[in-house]
Amino acid sequence: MPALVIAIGNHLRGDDGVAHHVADLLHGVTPLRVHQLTPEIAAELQNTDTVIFLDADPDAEAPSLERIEGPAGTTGPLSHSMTPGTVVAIASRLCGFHGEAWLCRLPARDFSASTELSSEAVAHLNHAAQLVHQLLEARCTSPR
Amino acid sequence: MAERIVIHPVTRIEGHAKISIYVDAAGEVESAQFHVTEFRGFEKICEGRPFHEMPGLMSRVCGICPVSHVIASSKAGDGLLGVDPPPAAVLQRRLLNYAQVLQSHALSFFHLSSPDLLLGLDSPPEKRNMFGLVEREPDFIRRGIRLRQFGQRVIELAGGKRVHPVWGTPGGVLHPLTREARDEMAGWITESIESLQIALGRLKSLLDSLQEEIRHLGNFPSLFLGTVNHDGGLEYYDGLIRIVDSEGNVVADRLDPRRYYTFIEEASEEWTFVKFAYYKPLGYPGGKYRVGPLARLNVAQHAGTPLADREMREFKQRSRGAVCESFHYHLARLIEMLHSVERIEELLNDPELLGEDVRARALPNRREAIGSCEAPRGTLFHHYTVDRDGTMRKANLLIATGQNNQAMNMAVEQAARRFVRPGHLTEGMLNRVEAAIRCFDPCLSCSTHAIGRMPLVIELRDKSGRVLDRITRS
Repeated sequence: MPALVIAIGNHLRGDDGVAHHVADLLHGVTPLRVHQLTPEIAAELQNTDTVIFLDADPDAEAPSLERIEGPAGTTGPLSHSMTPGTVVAIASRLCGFHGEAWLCRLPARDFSASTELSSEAVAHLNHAAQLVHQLLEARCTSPR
Repeated sequence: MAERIVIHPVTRIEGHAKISIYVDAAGEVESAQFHVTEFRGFEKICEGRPFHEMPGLMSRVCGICPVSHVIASSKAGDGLLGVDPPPAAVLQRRLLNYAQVLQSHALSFFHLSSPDLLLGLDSPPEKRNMFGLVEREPDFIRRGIRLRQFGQRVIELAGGKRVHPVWGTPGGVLHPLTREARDEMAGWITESIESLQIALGRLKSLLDSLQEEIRHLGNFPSLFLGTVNHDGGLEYYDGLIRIVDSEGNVVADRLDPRRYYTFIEEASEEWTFVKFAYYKPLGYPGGKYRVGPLARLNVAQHAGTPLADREMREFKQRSRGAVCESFHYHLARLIEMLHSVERIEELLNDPELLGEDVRARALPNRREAIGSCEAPRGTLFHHYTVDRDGTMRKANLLIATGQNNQAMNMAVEQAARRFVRPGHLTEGMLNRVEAAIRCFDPCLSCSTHAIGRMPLVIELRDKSGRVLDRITRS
């Protein structure tokens, strides 16, 4: 079954769009690019066995991969702004997703209006792409 | 001693808003206001930009209904050029507008309002959300998610992106539609119609148990305004404006949307950033009117597609005149979704949809033009003025939420008077006031990044600002 990479963020807000820059470096995969996570993205996880979310994180010092485990909490009072965990939980419950879900945290520092990344975000792009490739190879799945 | 109850933010809507409920010395609700607390200033941003940029810029107005802004903007651009777009471009615009209606209504009905409808307005707030539905109504919410996915996918396949597509342009659209894209879209039709028929049946089965809410969440006489086609049927892309009153009488008909300023005026209040549109001949506030799904079904005589026509006939039997209960926006929304899927199927079967010629080109030939369409929440107008070189001098965007603003404030006040007991606030009371707003599905911004983490605080204060009672929801 194929793997799915979801790049999250607004490329007009500086480092918020760092996930899209990492997605540009990935080979053999067509990432799903979104500004933010919404419920219907859960349906995209159907027929995949691995999903990797790429997201900017102002607290990250270096790119990292962490497994998203178990059901997440609720969506809160609004239902259209979600976390990777809630998307995975909905996909598991409604869309038959039983694979592995991972979150790749990407260092991000400057979220002002710009299409450029900060030097710190740029410095970690290749490493992040390498981490994603390694995970995909380890999972031995065909990228989607 | 007068008191004020504040609901801030209003949850499960698109954007940032709060509600103030004013309580008189006798402890009764005196009035209520719906405040929109965000300011975006898009009209000012347009000034000085080339008019060709407008569809791309306007796509950023909203993350929920960007296609409608692109279409109204592109149509205004057509007017500035003085051209008619090629047939394939018109068909694409129509297709994406229906997809927009479908995905936006799916978000409103299934994701934002269904927790109230299916789980109950008094159900525990921590469960009254999409996750509660995932647990209790998995098939229902899965179908809602798939419907929105279909609408988004149509927009993505034709417009390149599911949110903020840069696709429309003055004179047409940027790219022809491919056969592969058309065929993929067609594969969604059967499931979508089945899902909508299930949802319609489910909502109608619930209405008997919601009579209190139907009667008191925005049930009042008003005018209704919407676009109709040449034979008085539902129309979303191009047509003439019809206005009916609460008795169903036609007040004005065959109004040219390009002359909206002759029959619509806007007023401002200092406590909200949204303007108040009104029907000019009746003045402010007497000329209040409603737009959107409920209004469109009230002004149109028929849908023009078989399944939606059957539902619309049943819908119109709910009143001898116009259907005035704002709660029935939900039902109208589902009927419009069914109609949209039927129309999408018709468009996909039209061979001209795949035409290669999708853009008429010209230099600007006019200094002023207006584009309009029916957006998910109601009639949308973009009014542009340019200089000799085509540089934007002025833009006026008349959005559906502004046109519903008077009605939303009346709905909030009516719900507060009926359900809020100031001496003993409960979360369920608050939720009914919010539910009155959700009927209209107001769209207040395109950015919802932070609001999901904002707490909901209801405070009962006396005139000096002292907090008498407080409920917090995180």
